[in-house]
Amino acid sequence: MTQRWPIVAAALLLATGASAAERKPNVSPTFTATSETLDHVLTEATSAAGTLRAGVGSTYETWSYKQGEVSGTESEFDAGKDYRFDRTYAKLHEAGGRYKGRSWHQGYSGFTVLESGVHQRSVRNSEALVEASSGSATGVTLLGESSSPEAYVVKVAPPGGRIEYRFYDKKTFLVVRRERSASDQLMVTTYDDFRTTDGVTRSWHFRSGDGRPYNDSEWTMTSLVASESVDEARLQVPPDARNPVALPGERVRLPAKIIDDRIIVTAEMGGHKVNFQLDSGASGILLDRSVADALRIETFGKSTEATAGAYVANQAIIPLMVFNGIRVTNVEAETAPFQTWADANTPIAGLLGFDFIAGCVVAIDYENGTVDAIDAERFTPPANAIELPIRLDDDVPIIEARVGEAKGEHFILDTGADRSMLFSDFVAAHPKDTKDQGLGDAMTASFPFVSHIFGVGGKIRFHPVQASSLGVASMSFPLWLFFASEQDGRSFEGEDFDGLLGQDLLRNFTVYLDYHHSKIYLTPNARYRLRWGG
Amino acid sequence: MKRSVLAFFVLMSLGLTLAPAFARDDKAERDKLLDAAPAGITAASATLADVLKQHETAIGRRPGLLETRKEVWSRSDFGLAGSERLFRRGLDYLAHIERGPFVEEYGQLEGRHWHRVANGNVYLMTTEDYDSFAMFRVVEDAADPKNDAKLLGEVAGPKPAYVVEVRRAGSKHPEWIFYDKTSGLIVRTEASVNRRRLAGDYDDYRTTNGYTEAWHVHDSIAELGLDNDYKRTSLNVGEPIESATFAAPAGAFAPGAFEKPGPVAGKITNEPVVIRLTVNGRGLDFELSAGAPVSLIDRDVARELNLPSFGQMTQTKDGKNFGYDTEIAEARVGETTVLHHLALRVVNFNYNAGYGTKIVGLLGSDFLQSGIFKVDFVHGRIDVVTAADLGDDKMKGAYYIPLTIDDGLPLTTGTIGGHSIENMVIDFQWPVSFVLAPFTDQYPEAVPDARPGKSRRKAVVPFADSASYGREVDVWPSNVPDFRFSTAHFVSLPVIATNDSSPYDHDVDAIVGFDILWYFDVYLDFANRQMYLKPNTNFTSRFKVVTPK
Repeated sequence: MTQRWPIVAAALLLATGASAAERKPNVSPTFTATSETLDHVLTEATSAAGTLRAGVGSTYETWSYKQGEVSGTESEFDAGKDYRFDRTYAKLHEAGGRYKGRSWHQGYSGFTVLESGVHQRSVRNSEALVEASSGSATGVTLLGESSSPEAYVVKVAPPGGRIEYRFYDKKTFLVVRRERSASDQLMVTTYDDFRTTDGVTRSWHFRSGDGRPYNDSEWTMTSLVASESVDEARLQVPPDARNPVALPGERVRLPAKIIDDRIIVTAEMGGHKVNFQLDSGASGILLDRSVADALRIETFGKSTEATAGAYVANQAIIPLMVFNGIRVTNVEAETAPFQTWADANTPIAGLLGFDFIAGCVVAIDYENGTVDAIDAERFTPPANAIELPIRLDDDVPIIEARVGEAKGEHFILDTGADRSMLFSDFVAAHPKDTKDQGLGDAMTASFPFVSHIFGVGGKIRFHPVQASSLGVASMSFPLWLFFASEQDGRSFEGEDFDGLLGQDLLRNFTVYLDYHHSKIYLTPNARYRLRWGG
Repeated sequence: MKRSVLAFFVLMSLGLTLAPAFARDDKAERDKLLDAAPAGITAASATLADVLKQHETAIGRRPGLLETRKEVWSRSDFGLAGSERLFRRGLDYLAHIERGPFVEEYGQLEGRHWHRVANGNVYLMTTEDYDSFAMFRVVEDAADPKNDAKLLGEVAGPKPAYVVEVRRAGSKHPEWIFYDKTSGLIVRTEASVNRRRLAGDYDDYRTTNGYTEAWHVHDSIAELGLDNDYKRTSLNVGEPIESATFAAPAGAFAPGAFEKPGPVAGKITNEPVVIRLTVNGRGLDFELSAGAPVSLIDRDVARELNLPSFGQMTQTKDGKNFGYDTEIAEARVGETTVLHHLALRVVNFNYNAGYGTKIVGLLGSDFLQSGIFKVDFVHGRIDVVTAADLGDDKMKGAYYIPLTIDDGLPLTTGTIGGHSIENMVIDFQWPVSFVLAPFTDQYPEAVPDARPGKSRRKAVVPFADSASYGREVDVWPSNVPDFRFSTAHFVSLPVIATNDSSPYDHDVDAIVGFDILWYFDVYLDFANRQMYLKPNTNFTSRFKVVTPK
């Protein structure tokens, strides 16, 4: 059972994560010494969990849950390593699964996204537990015993994994509590109502939360049916369910302007004009709450999220947005306090991210200040464009880039980021390549205070770093100035990302965002030629 | 954010109105002026890349942050002559700045940043220090791909230079950078700052440990006659500096202290708490403010008292008043307390606070460290009390308020509707209490509109076709359901909520003003970073006190 996260985004203005919790994830729970051994605890736990009866080919389970104020249901069809889940959350529906090694997800807006495996921490933890059960543990240790619950506490923290504490009941050896770190937040899940079906003992009821308002959820299994057959059709990766973005022609000029490299797109909504910033770093659409209220857009659910700071968000479905004849219907959005300015005459009341960009090819001409939407099915990449394969695991475009000699496979190409950023784990992992070449230190020396940039919900601390070079595809740019986020910005950074490639890079190109074919194309413009020739 | 030449001419704290109110036609004319490239530029055969490469070679190896530096500068800030000794080690620093008779220090050690003000008080500060590093520039905007840069040409004259025009993201007007044709070093910058044209000139370049930098920096806004000048007189690189050098020293209000308990010359008239200073035999009424970072005196009174300006500009070239620093050599407060060399800022500040009371200045948090003050609203008096008066037995039933004083601004914490407010000012200078943005934006439900059937939201919806968005400050009365600070818990507390932001140069979420403080005897012990609010008879006649079981 996967926990439903609020809208996931991993860029400048939206990112999943957390703020305060009762305890930091890197701090162990309270425990006392035990005479038990890890090997025995895990052996007993494996035995207690049981083995699926021979001959069972698949299982189908249904759940009901409540998260904050919203109730929902989930069904999950499992067949060995393959599975598919379908989840309702108020009026929203989402699905996901894995079939023959290909993982995918599909949001309410209907786009099917194949996942490339950017996030492997949970997988690493599972693998580490299996290895530990066979006596070759790395990063799995028995810490001791807890009194409440009365359990053996096993810490799972393998290289490349996440910190996790598993509490094995002292009598049954079933897992009754898990504490996991996620973006510097402690997620706690408690399990009960264990039942044995077809040889396997599982919890039919659990609660989960991260300590923040509105984020507690409670799940109850309502049915579990085993079958000897496997319905392959239910497991296959589905095509897009729909495209909420309807273009009136093959290529349509968006009502947009580019102000200081920020792309401002104006939507018609409910008889009003609303400015959004086109933000490839946003995994969805964010709308200022006051606009949603004024337009009487129904909102539901509440969650506490954290990007640059904590804020309370609601879910919503926007019935219609129109951009110069382009009709965007029934798209999921998040509403939260969000108001900023592109310039003195241009208020911005939201972010336009994945659910719009995935519905077409977006062509951004930074030099001439125009933005076009192109029918993705009829799009032909421009000749001589630089092609960047992208991964969309988090509904944001992830590309490979080089900083000095260091390769990072998880840089987000982010039209919403004013400047490219290096995240703290990347800097820590590559001290030589992220060593400042002089300008960053000179800037700091001229003003030796930690600076901030603003994101959703608050501020992020950073310091400037001039790297020896930035490499993207076949291009290499000498002496690139990055902002390096400070360690306390982990909720902004999310998990597993190396950094952001922002407007400082993109402004030197015409950029084509072609999510449909998992590609981005860059065509150098006059700015590029002025600086770097070619 | 990358700092450009624009960021260094800090007028904000110096009293100049930075956003002059130009008429519409004038605005267009001024835009033209600010967009106009420097005169005398002719075509150059070099390319932008050539110029930037020559410059990069010319400056040499930039020093790393780990290099220690000891340097001395002479400086003149708008005519106020002085010097600065600057010691640095990484992010740690000590700046000792003497200007006229005023001595200030700034420092930072392991991220702990502090400021010793001219009256001797020492404050930790979370805001940034724009004073100590005013002469340091990173003028690499042209090389930054985030900016548009083009080589306009070259200028002749005694120092022929290439001129590069840079348009920085977020800046309305361009800046121009002059690169010496021979050396590649930057000799001049011109840019717009607060709608004025600021020129920076750099010369006397010297090379130390492979890095070449200007030892003389001169900033000017010619049309206003404003000039700042900085000359380095010595530089030592690599000498060890002990950590203790950077540590915050002990501080105290140097002009004097209230040694004996008793009433303070002053009164409480309607709302202002007034302290009377006697200067040259003349009684001057100053408003006492628990939230003002610095003390002020009215310009006209300063002139009448012939208070010195120490060579500072007091007016700009176009005749506008310009704030400046002064000191009162001797001021009496009542019969027994004498203050010596009280530093104040001269600005326009006067108003009538009732018959016979003309306020001509403000005594702020620096003054409040001269003793422990009790403000008694019931009896309309101010007293100096002793530490013993703050003992547990005396303060039974009082609310204890721990303070941090952030560069002069006293702050405490609390919660509204369960949401933390980190920056709350408690100051009777404000007649009413406020809750401010961004708190009101983030948690509107915590400050509901008290007007039945009215919604404030219509005025602030950020529609692109709305003429009002962001231009109207919205203000609404709110009965805050849950307001806590210290051990005080207010239910349905009337405040004024607004989407406007802090009136201070610091984020402030809420201000507890006179309307609430009137119910208490207020004990101000700023030297020990604490206040007490002890309910008075206004309180007991208004509120029912519930003792928790």
